[in-house]
Amino acid sequence: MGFNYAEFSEKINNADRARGILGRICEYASKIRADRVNIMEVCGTHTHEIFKSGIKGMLPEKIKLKSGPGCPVCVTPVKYIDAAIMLSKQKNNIIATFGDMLRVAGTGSSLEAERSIGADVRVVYSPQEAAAIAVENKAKNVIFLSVGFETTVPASAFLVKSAFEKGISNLFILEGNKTVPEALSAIVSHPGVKVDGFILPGHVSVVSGSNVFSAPLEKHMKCGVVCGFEYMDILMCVAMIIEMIVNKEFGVKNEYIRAVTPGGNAAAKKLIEEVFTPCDCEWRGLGTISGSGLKLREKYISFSAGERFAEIIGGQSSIEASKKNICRCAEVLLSLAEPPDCPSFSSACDPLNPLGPCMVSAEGSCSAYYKYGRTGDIKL
Amino acid sequence: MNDFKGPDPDAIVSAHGNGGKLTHALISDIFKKAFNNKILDEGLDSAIIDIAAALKFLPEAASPDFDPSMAKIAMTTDSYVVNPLFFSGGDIGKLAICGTLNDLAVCGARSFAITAAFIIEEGFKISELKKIVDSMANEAFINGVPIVGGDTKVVGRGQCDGIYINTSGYGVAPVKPNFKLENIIAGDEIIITGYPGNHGICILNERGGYVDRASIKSDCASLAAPLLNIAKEYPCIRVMRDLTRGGLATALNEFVSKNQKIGIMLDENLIRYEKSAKALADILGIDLLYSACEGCAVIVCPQGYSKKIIESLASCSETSDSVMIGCAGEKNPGRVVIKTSIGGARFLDMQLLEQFPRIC
Repeated sequence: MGFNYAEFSEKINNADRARGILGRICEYASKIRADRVNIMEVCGTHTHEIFKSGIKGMLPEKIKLKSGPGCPVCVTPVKYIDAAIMLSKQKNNIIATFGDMLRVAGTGSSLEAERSIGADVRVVYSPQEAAAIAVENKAKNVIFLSVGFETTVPASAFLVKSAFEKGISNLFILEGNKTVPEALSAIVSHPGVKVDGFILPGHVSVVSGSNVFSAPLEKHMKCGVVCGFEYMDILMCVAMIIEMIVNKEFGVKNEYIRAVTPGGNAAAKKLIEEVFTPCDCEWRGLGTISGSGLKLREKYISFSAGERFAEIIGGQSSIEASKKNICRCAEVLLSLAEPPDCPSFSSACDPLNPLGPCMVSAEGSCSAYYKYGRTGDIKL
Repeated sequence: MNDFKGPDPDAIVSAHGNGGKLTHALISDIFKKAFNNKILDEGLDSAIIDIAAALKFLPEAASPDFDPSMAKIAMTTDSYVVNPLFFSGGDIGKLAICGTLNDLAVCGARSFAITAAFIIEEGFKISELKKIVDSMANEAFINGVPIVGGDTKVVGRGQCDGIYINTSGYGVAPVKPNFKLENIIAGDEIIITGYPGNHGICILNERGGYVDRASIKSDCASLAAPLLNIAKEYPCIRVMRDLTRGGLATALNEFVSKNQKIGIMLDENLIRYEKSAKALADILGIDLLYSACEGCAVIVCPQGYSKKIIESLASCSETSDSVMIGCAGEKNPGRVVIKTSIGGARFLDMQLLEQFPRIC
């Protein structure tokens, strides 16, 4: 028998203990003099679990949970989507992508729209499926849209490394991977962002380790707690953050000890290090963040779709593209605005006709607000 | 040297659909053999059924009080497309028969005849077709309903995904059942007859190969016997609906959008899931409340009746996991709300888009 997730989740979640932790949160919150405590959940999966379990409405009035950058799709710039669309238009190309990317609007099109008029765009769940497609379609170029944070980077690195070893020459990745600690630094140092504590992403930390968040948080005298994805994890994490604020502690603590170590997954990090090297990278809403992207090392450069198809992709202006973006995604990603503050939210922009990536991706905060909390308060 | 072995004898060719010799061979070798009933054997362009014979399907017809002039005919049609055609817990054939029977049963109608039309892709294996047809015949036989007519068309390779089935179902009810969404009032109780979402997550698992096939089964089943039983026993039932695509959440949203005076409040603590289905759904980021069912119904009954109805449903294996999961009320009119296990709440809205496995 393999790992029994169902029983595992049952063991962790317990409504009685949850109420106990809520009590502790209320008690600590009453010790804070400020009338508002802002806690940002960096990861979209947390946003969804917070809505799904109804945590938001159960916390003391002064504790505000705010959604941050959310998911890799949300922060992928229009330029990248446009490049993917251009590549999909080439008759000899097959695009392999995670499902979330399909509906994201580029400049005037999306991969889903291209697919409906004949582009070969295939949804994969694991990057490794792209290698299988490449082997089956030797006469075609298979391009994997390599987006994702540390959580999915090792799988992309493995894809490239194993394709290199097997001599698969018709497989490419469109480099778009990003790393979270650099983005956290950008958020913490952003003058407009008022966040007291951070719910840090658990999946990312499984790979990177919790230590990577220490430096930026300590430098700006903020606290953060690495958090798992069950509701008990989130409640525990909020309690720990409030406790850190009361005790004036800075830096990072780890709630998700069953999966996250201070140093992370050494094998995965080694694999990333071997295949990729850091580069400056553009984030939607945050702009270019130094050292926050990953590009292929020289040894693997022949797998870079950006290099191989430079002629097709090159020559577009991302400024032009971002101008067309009339929603407030950028502010939402920084928690400077809540999704309902955006004039387009649920009128011009909804999951059927998304203007920005926060609404397209199921992990995006606009999508979560739309799904769970669009109108008024629930009467119990 | 002659390597040509001739056409594959196990493949459907376009001539199977041209009305000629091969069509007739297919009908007599596969369909008539499996469905095996006199009405079909007559081979007319329509199936002719005695009204009296149809009424005999009703147990009520034996009673001296039975008034045939009050009896009603129910008709339904549905198309079945599923990939893969064979999945853990069923196949497209079983799905087609169960779906048709369930559509009639939730309206309180007892099926007395089914027709089935097949659109088959050139090259489809005749042996697979036979498996599907046998599965239909078996399910129809278990439920005591004859398949009285059908049609076969063959389309070119790539013009359909293996095989599509369209059915029509005909049923009788002793009197017009009083099921109406408008009947739902505050205080009414909501029952689900099984674990939500198992068909949808099973199909995802079949396509993605995430975990052992056998560990996640579709709930594909006929609910005709238990549902007709309670429809007869409890005429006070407000409405019944079989949950198909969109799952439980979608059906309940249809209720409140038709009857905007009421809101529905579910209690997460009362909803039970099949463990392995829930585990895979959580990992993939799929909400089972929106995932398809093919052998699960939702029943709305007046306050105080759910216990008795659930006891009655428990005697049938397809509905032995029935539970009360919430009730209708005046709060949050036009909305479906779920109280979470820790005492919070969230809206369960109509689903907008297909659920995709997510990126992280």
